[in-house]
Amino acid sequence: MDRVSRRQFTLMAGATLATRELAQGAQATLTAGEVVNRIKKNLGIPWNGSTYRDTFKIGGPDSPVKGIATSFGGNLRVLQLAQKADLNMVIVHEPTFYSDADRLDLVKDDPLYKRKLDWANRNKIVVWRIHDHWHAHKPDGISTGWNKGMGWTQYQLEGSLRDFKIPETTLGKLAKYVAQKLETKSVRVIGDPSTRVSLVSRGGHNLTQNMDGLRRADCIVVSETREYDSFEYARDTVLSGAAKGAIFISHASGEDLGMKEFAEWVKPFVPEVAVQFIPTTDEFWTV
Amino acid sequence: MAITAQDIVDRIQKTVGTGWKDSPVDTFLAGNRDSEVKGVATTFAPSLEVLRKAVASGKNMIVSRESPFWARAAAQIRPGTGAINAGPEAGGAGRGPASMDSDPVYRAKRDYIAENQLIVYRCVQNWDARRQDPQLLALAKAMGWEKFYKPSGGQPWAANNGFFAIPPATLKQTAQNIKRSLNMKCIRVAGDPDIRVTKAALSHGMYWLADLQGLLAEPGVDLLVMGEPQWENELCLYNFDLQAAGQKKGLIVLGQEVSEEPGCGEMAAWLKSFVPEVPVEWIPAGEPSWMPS
Repeated sequence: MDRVSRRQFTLMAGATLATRELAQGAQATLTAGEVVNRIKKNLGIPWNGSTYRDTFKIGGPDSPVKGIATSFGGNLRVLQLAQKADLNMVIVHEPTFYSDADRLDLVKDDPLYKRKLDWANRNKIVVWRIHDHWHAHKPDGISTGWNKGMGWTQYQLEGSLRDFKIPETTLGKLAKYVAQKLETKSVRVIGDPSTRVSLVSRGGHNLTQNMDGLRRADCIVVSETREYDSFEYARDTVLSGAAKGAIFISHASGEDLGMKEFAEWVKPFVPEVAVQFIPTTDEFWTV
Repeated sequence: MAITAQDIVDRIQKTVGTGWKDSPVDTFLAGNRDSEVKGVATTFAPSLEVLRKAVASGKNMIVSRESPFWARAAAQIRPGTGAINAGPEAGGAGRGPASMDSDPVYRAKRDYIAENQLIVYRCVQNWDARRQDPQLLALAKAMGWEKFYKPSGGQPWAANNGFFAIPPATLKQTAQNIKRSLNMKCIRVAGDPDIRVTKAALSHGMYWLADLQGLLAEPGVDLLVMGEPQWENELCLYNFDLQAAGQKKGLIVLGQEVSEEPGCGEMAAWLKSFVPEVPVEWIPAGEPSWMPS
């Protein structure tokens, strides 16, 4: 202290104070609503105001934002990790409260709902969802992120984000690659593991998409679809003698990386705070 | 005297015991209902393999839980026969194309059914509506859990009353036991493998949020053993959140076929009791998928 002159000290203190004021000022001005406005502005497509999905689930536009986390799901575990990392705005692709529309009438008396909401409010967590508009973004942000993460961008067929011509392999090897790359333990496969595959299509949640995919490709990779229709259709495809296969992955495994892409996309136009992807990952394991 | 498919359905309707309710699900999906039946096969899904086995053993009527043409709404197979967007109460939303005529797998299956003059009748909703849920009872028997049954008052073996005081073990050990008893390939488990589970809630087929909430409202339930979630990102999220909230509750997902197939065996036994004229056999479809090691 005695080696610093009074004048120098005053200057330093002033500078520190100014920096802090600047920082606090910036934090006070960045609200969740402002983040959402910038997202809407940068999307490059008209905002569909009637979406029930892409809305605030916890907190609202006035909630102050200290940092942003992005993830597939509004899982409590993800919110907890975000809170620890001081990222209090969590932008998710999927529901927070156990139904697609986050219908509160289904959970208002539910003890888990209350506990999650109370914890989030106490910790000033704000959750906003972007589903429809991130898919509608050109190119589809979810597919783009997944393709990058899989290392398949180079194999995309012209004009498609969901059809690939990969170096020829077998269904069994491809299933293992998918499991390793996406860090998932719940991969399920239909077809002979030795079936040769090169044309791969992503398929979809609905039977129609998987019928189309299996007609076009040697193999479909599908994130969450129904067993009673798509699994049985894939089974019959193989039983009909077609040398094809189907790889079924968890919903999170098929879309999580799309929210990693979202974090990268948001960063340039929200420079004031940290923006970080927190993987939801597949929580299933097997024995 | 020859027995027709319609005769058998008439007997099903009379015998089911809950008062038959007409349903867009429980209906003929292929073949001529007035044809003579030589034998009956019951199954979860009338896959090409199941159909071939039925033909090989001289059975021309299939009674199944699922449609031979995958889509739950009959309208997608035969336009005009049902609502495309039928809700879950009608067997699930329409999820397939408006017409399947251009699909090669559809045509192969349709032609196989026609060439072999097979009749496919779907029987789900009236069967499940029995006072004692035959699907639940059969699944519990297949797991060796019948002796652990601990109903929560009310009607024993009702669909929402599948509670079991199971031998205490870790979640992992319990999953291993279930996998073995059901001879499974694709068991999916969530929760800390080392937690001890002692009281299980068991369910079959598709489940929704209200099912989860109902089963978890039963005191002491620390394990849910379920068929297929109607969306992982909604329902499995619920279980993942329970775990993140520190509750030591496990989830085991069996899959649709694994959870429903034992009940199709139960249905064969039931049909035998009032269709003595022809052989009745359960032909399991088998688990459709496998897991990479």
